[in-house]
Amino acid sequence: MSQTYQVELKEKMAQTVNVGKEWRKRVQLLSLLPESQMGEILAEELLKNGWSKEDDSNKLKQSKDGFDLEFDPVTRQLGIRYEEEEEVQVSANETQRVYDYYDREDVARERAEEALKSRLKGELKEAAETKEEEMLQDLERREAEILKLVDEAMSQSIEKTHKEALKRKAGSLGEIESIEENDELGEVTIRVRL
Amino acid sequence: MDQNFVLPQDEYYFYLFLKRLRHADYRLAFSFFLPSSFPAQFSFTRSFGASTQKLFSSWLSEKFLKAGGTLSRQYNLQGRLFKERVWYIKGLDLRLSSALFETFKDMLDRYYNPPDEEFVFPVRNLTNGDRLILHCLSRDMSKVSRTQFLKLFEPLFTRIKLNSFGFAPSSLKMSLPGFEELSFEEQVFLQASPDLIVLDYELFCESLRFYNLEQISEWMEELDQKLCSFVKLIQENKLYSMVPCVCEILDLTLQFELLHPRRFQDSRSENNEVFETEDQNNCYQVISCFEHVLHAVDSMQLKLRSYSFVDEEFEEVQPVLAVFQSRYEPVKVKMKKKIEQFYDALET
Repeated sequence: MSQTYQVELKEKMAQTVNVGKEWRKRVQLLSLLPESQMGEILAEELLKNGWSKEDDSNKLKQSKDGFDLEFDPVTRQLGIRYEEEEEVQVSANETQRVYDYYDREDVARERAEEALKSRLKGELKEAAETKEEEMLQDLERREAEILKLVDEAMSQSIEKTHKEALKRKAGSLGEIESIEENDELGEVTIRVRL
Repeated sequence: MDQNFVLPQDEYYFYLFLKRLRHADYRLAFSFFLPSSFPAQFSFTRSFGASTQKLFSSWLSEKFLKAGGTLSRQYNLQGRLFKERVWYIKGLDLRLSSALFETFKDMLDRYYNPPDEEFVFPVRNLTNGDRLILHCLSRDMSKVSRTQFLKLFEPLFTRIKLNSFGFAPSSLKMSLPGFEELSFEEQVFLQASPDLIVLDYELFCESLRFYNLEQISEWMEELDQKLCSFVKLIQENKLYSMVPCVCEILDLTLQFELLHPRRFQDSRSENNEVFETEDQNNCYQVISCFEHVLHAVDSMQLKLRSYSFVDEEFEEVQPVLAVFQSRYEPVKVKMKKKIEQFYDALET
């Protein structure tokens, strides 16, 4: 005997969508000392600012607020990887009428649940793809803004690098008598006895 | 084949197979010699052993001499200079074993297996001579067919440590072993055949243009590590006879215009004046690779310069410093200029 059942179905599915982009650029430093030394001084400054060094490499890394930054003191190249993630959800809460030929409610319910899951999976995939596209477009639009954030984060260390390089340069010229720093104006006055 | 050797029929065909391999007729060799034609038992006749030994000895000797191996060179092994031991290679006491023949059988099995199917090469107890033969074979194969055969036999070839000095994509992934991890024969062969390394790099440069741009970044990262480790290996083990080889590699980099921004730009880009972010990242990766190599060579030069006449190494490093002066300095100046131009093109 066959029978039609009314089945209550509830299902929720979620997926995390990740989008990211990579940029590389060379950090512009004044040539106060030989290039490799300027890179080394910046690396020292970055280490003070919470960057870390990998064991078998000269490169320094920092991961913060969705940014993965990597600085190479030899080439003075900065690798920037920015990643964002968002969750997409799909859900269903519905009543279905299901027919079972052998008069078994559990089989009918199982079949209905499977059909619903399969439908939701398709919907979730579609939603994730749409979301990914939206996020990528948004990322493209905000590219300049994202890179500006990195520049701002680096600017303090670059300024300190220039000051330190100046001090070392002055030290190599003669005996340093005094150093006056004006942080507001970004000025450094070094008196050297030759 | 030597007239004095008379081989049974199955051995004769196997010998022909080996000869074709030696002459880099891979397609012919593999197509005409089936795994089923392989001698069932490894009880080869003495004549076969002697003729095979002769075949590979002369092959290796040829390779060695063509690749710049001369008898007057000095080789630094385990901190001692060897001159007379070069005869060891010249005389070629190869000590080939049946494991080499079994490996050829494995290669035939692989060849006749569907290419997409996974194939696990059995681990064979190879002798130094066996490994050198397989090394030369893989180098020759990379010249004839860099993709097809190398891909087929990649798991086997990557087991040979000497192959990690190559620049084919499969070798590029392999990190360089410590010098002491190589056998005596391999150490001598490596130092005696710097031209093989240069030739392999030339092949890499030539083939670069045909490859997919998407892979360049990965290859350049691997090349970066490989070249820097190579320079480090030379410095740590005092393999100064290989310094000119590094200079030639840098020279080839310039000759093949690897430091030219447009070389790594996707020709499908709508606007050729502006670099796409991905192309730009590739370019930075390329510059980074060669800046690291120059930095590594500079460090080596600086170290050698630091020796004073009271140091033991002082006399030994003088000819090397002369090589730096005459060969490295000019190429370094050119590369630095190219690198700056490369950066300018990217940043404007």
